[in-house]
Amino acid sequence: MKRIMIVDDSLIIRMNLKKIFEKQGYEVVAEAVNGQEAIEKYMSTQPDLVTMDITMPQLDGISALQRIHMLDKNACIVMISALGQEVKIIEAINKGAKHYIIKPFKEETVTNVINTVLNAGMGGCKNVINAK
Amino acid sequence: MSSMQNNNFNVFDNESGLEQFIIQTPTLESSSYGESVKTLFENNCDVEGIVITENGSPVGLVMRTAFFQKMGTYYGNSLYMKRPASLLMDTDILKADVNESISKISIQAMNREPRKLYDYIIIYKNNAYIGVVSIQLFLIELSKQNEAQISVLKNQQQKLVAAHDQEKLFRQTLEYQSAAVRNLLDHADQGFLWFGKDLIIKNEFSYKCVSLFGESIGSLPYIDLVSPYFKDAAPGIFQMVFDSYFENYSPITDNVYLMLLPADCVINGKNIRFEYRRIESDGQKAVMVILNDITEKINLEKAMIDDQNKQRLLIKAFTRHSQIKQMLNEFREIFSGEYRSYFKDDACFADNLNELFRAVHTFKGDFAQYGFISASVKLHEFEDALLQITNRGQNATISDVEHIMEDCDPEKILKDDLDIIYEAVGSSYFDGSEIISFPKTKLAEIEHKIRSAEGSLTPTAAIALIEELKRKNIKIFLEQYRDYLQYLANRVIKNMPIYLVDGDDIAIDEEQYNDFLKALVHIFRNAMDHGIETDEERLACGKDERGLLECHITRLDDKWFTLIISDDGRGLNIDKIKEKALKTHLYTAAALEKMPKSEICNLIFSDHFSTKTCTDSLSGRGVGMAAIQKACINLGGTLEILTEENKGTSFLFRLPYTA
Repeated sequence: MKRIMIVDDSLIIRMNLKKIFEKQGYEVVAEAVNGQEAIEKYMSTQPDLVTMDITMPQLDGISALQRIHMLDKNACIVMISALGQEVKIIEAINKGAKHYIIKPFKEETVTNVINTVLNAGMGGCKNVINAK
Repeated sequence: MSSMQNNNFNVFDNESGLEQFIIQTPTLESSSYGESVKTLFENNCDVEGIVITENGSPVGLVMRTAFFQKMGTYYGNSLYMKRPASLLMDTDILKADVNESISKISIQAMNREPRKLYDYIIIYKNNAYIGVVSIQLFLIELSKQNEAQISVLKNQQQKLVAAHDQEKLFRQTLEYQSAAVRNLLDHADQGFLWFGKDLIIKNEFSYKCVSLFGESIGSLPYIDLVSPYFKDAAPGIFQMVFDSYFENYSPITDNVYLMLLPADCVINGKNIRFEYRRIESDGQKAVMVILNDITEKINLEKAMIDDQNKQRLLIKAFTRHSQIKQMLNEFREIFSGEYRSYFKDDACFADNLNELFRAVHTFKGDFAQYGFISASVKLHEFEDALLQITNRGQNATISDVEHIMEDCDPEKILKDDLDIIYEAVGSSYFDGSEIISFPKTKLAEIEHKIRSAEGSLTPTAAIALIEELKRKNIKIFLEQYRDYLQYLANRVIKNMPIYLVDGDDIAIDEEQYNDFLKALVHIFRNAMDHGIETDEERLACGKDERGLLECHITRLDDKWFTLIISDDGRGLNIDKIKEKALKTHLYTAAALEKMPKSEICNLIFSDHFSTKTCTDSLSGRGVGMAAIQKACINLGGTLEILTEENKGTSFLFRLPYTA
């Protein structure tokens, strides 16, 4: 079963995403409310996929993405963004994000994006991070 | 080409030169007698010529034919037999170095006088005699090699002809195929074009593109062509996406980048949807663009929505006849001067303005609720004008308001929607007297009552019976708030609450209850604005993300019933009410301290409590609570509030069937 971490400061977005993922048979192994927490929880849970909000307090999504990528170059991260943030999304993808979802989202969109990303190029072995 | 390299038929090649034609022929010293020459020729039938030398170096040549001709003359034999060969020899001989070019030697040989044409050519190597070349052999060999060369050439030619035919066939097929494809593309109702890393549109594009853009688009820079049509897109988005697309190499993110491009725009009055595809050409990444004309689709959708709105408006026009009539009257009144009443108390102009804004805003909501979509949209624009005055702050005056109110023709706002009603039912809709509808069973029941009274019916009783016909179940009126709640929910961006109307069926007189029923709007508005939390807050405190609003009716006895309207929101904020009561100097802190909670809640109904304080907020000042209390009391009823923090608020009304 694929394991997913949700990073978003909005509870309602997290609840919605969780509902969608669980319906698809994925396991939500962690939730984080900011970039800093995301990095910590990524290390401890090593999920197959992360959904990452772009705008968050403390550490924003793009910074968190970069740091997670430094720790695990195979990290599979999908950005969650509000409408009109295309420029930030391009930046995120250039920095290693695999895909994006625009809020407000439809269940179908989320499912399509997640399935696309999980089915493409994730066949290989997951890089095991050295905690040090 | 390769076969030509393998066949060395170039006989004139200096490298392979004369050497191959050199033969050895006997030599004689010039002092030898003619008879030695004769003996040599007679003993060696295949010797065609003898080289005459002096000290080993050739000085002349005696050819067989020339020798026997000389011998055949009258004194030939006796003249030459006992004399030196030098007399017999031809000294005008052709000499050549072995490295001399064959073509040059051939020309020299052929230019000799005809009788000497077949004479040997004397060949030297490093100035030493090495042999002769027989022209006869030379020619035979040459012709053999020519033949080989010709056959190779012929072979080559045949192959070339075949290749040419093949190529012609290919070309024709290709031309036919690309014409067919182009034909297909040109006749599809989609535009196709593509470009590579230089972002210059390639010349393969379909005709639809030309008709769309009004020009031939080949060789144009793609971004310059399309970006003027996407003025609302993030600046530089095209360049950024294509830069990233062509610089990065991953099949998944390629499409992700392309998805970020803006898709819909209007070109020459047509709604066009752009679709981007990743393609490869000659191993290079490229972009294919498909342009779809979705104008018809959009118009169709618009027409469908228009139709739905029309239907909705007409249904409401029939079912809410009196409410609509009343709404329109009030709306017209406000514009024909009634708005001034909002500014009678000029203690605080900004607050008066807010009050007017709120009234206009309520009309907007009412219009939307009754399906007057066009009026609702126009009123939204009018709201913007009012907001501009509000934004002027201290500088705004009543004349600003007068100005925009008088500029605005309420009939223009209403026209489109009223036209729909007039078209369907004629202008008599607003003229005719109101029609009251009631169930058939009710009529039968009244009829039965009159018959069973057998003439003993008093006028009062008779009127009571007629009044009864006018009564409607209170639930019908409460149900009508469902649409309004949906409208409010959209406005405050919350989930539509679960709205329940249950309990006993109580028939009320619409006219008598009109004020009260209308005032209920404030309870619903306050519940949606303040009572029910945001979806997020609700989830955070473990509530269902949909709020609950319940109207419960209970029959108490023959005269009284109760109506309880409750929400499951955050409850009234007792501290805030106290704070406000203190500010208004209604009660002292000590008095408030002693006051039970239920009494503090009731403070929100007090007239003084809603005493205006200058605030920017357009709601949340308890506006209308006094109106509810007043309407309830006018009916002869009572009310109280129950509230509990984070559990909700309930309004309990005790009301008579008949006022």
